[in-house]
Amino acid sequence: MADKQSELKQAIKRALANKNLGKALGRFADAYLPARAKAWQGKDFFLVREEIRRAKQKTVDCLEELAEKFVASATSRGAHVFQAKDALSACQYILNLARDKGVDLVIKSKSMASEEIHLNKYLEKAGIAVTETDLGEWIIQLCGQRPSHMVMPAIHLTRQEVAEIFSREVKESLESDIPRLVKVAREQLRQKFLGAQMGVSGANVAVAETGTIFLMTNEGNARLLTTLPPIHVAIVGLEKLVERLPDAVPILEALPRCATGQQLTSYLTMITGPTKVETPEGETRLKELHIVLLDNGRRKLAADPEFNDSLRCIRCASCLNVCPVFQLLGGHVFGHIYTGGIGTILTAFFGSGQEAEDLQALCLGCQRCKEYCPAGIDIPQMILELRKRYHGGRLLPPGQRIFMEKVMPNRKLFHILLKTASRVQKPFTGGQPLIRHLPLYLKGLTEGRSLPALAQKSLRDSLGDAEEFCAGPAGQPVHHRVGFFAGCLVDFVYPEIGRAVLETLVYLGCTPVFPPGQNCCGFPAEHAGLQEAAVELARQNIKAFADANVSFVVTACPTCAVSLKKSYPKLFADDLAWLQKARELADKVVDYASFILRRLGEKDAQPACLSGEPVTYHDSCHLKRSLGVFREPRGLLQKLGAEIKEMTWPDRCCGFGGSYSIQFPELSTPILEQKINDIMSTEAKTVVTDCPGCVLQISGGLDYRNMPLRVKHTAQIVAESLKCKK
Amino acid sequence: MAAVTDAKENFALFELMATAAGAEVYRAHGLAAAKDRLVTLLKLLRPGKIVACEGGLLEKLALPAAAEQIGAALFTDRLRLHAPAADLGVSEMDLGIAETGSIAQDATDVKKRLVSTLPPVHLALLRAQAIVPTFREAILKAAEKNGPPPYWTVITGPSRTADIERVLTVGVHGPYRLLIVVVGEESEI
Ligand code: SF4
Ligand code: SF4
Repeated sequence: MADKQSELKQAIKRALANKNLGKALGRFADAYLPARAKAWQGKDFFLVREEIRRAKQKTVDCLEELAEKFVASATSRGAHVFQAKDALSACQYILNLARDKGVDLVIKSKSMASEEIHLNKYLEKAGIAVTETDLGEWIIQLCGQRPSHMVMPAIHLTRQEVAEIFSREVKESLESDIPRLVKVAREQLRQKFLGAQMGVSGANVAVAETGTIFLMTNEGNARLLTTLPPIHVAIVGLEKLVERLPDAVPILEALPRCATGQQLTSYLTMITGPTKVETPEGETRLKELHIVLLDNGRRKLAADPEFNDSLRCIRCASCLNVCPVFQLLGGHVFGHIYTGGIGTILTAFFGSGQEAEDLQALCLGCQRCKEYCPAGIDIPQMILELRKRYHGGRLLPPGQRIFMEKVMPNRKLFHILLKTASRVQKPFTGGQPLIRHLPLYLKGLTEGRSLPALAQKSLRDSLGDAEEFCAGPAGQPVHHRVGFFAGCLVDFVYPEIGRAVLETLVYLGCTPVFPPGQNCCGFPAEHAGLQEAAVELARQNIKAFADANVSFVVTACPTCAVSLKKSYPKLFADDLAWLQKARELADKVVDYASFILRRLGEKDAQPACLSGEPVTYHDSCHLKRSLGVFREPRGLLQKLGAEIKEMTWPDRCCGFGGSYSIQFPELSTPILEQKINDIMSTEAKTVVTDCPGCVLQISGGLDYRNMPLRVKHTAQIVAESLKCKK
Repeated sequence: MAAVTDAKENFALFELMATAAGAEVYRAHGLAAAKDRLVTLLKLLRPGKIVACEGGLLEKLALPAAAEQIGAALFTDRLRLHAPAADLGVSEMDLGIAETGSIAQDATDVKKRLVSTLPPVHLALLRAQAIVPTFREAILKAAEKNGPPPYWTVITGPSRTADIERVLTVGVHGPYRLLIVVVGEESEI
């Protein structure tokens, strides 16, 4: 396993060293969102997404029934349907058919299912020639590589490289002029289209009730392939089925809009049963239509409640196009046949699934993909689930694992260690501020960013024995007792953020309560796949706040908020007594910005002290995408008089991702770099964010580059502003 | 009156979207105008060899005469033999889709596909009345009689790729030019 890990590391290194790939993916990522937004103009994304979700949920729920219906209807329309249980049986069926009919040349249009079953290799080994006709796939085939993207397989190659590849093929030196290269491909492949006896395609959707398959292409290869050769074989994954024709419509609407920013691809073909072919001699005869309905793990996936949402995937690749990790690595590293986050999940089920075991670690959990997925799939949640199943904890360095499993759940020990660490860190760091003992950000991570030191005095220590910070007259109504959940970063690295939270709560007439029994929220442990440690930490926190008798629990760390609000109830799904308590806590949890904005609204006084200071706001992934909070902090800042200069993509991940930045600093750093560039382009002097992790990452990055910007948590800005009011 | 405006709006959107997708849209008010348009276009395109599907509008537009006028050889049969070397394919489509600027057709007859896929240029004829507002309507319309036909096709602009460095390039496997002549009354287009 250590070997496999280092293999992954090596692959990452190679991908990062490939400047073409980085540039191509980066350029594409920049162009993608505007093009996509334009293609969706006049169409309601959320409505279509809901339609797809509904249509495909039926598929997941009634897979057997739909498969049966499809076989019956397609057969009655004259197609031969073969149900293949795995890759081998699918390949064998196609090979036998080819042999039977004396086929020596097979042409193919783009089909991920055929790649999944390694059909080309299988046929070629048996002496049957196979030619890919999708331009990108053909390039890949000629140079013997693997596709690097689900929709754009050759995105990692430059025109010069393509010219070289084609030159070898046509044995003539070609210039790197793209229209000319495309013309060469047209001429070469036209001969294949006219000569092949069998065409193999995939299908974008298949309709159970009518036995119909849909094919979408821009080049027109699927149209030629289903028109010229006398045999057409369509390999259709079971998950492509929908029940009725209208169910297919939202998928066909979403796919081109999401995949390439088009309203529709150049060609859409709807095939229901065989049609006639014409020979050059002028004879016509009915062609053979064979549909291979492929299982290869799909039934198993449909039966798995934690993962079966992934069968709703329509392969539009939106999730890759917005994924910060995919943008750096491409599909050669982040993926197997199916790439990116969703690819990792599908890979785990289709075929042997081994590859997914390492790949899951690459997801940084930024949640961005899920926002753009037209099938409404929660990819990061499934990756987390996958990590648990593989018990990803064992992929952690042993020291870190012991720390998370044994030390953190023991709050006293954990805190004593931290206290000691804060005292001894100086001699070790040689003046260079560096955190050594927090679980999230271990050792030697100074590449690309500076790290702050552990605070000399943690928040909990600086509060002394006080647990309550009463402001107003005694005997306040209980609903003003507000619990404060600090979280490790605020408690031990940024106590000043914690103090700002407390001060502002007091200012607004609340009685903040800091239950000392609170511990790490458990998110890092859960995300490392250490379920038991996470459960133990959750118990401690639930108890601490239940005993504190508060009406709200405010936290200044969105990750902690997600943990308390969303994860805890899931952790105790099978434990009714604790589930009840977890829900009670979850209901009380509010993120800092939302809470303060509400309180300010109640108070009629409007503190406006920032006098139009330009700030830029960075959305933390968890606050925006997991909690849906992004208007509130902006509203709050504006209320305080700040002028917000938005950066491009304020919600692009800063690359922190907790322990991710330890495991993959080589990925975290370039993601941070993009963020810094976005920030610098606004010319704001202050960066505000609601997440202490983002504060750590961004301030570290700015400091490393000697940029004189301030990075502040919203709470600090509120506190400053209120002070100036006094 | 409302219906007339609807038709015009429908067409306007169709023209806009089809053009955005890279097709060239021409309107012809009535058959006589369509005939003229056909001749003008043929003169511009100067094909040596034309393949076409007979029937429908084409019958009325006297394509053979137009072809003869420009000295082109016209084939309407044995298209598998002739289409690969033809310079132009001509056919009539069943439906237009305003929302996406597409044209659609029951292409169960293989000839219809041979003329619209193999030659480098496709000239499509479309009746203005056949333009429906949405993709959804078109697809359901195609299947309304006896379920979906064996081969139904939607074409949106020319054949294209962006597979090399994401540079848009037309004419990969299908036509690099798509010309659509929409025939209708002045009140429609
Ligand atoms: S959560 Fe973020 S890192 Fe993970 S797959 Fe989705 S976009 Fe990529
Ligand atoms: S998971 Fe969603 S966004 Fe990703 S390819 Fe599938 S449908 Fe598209």
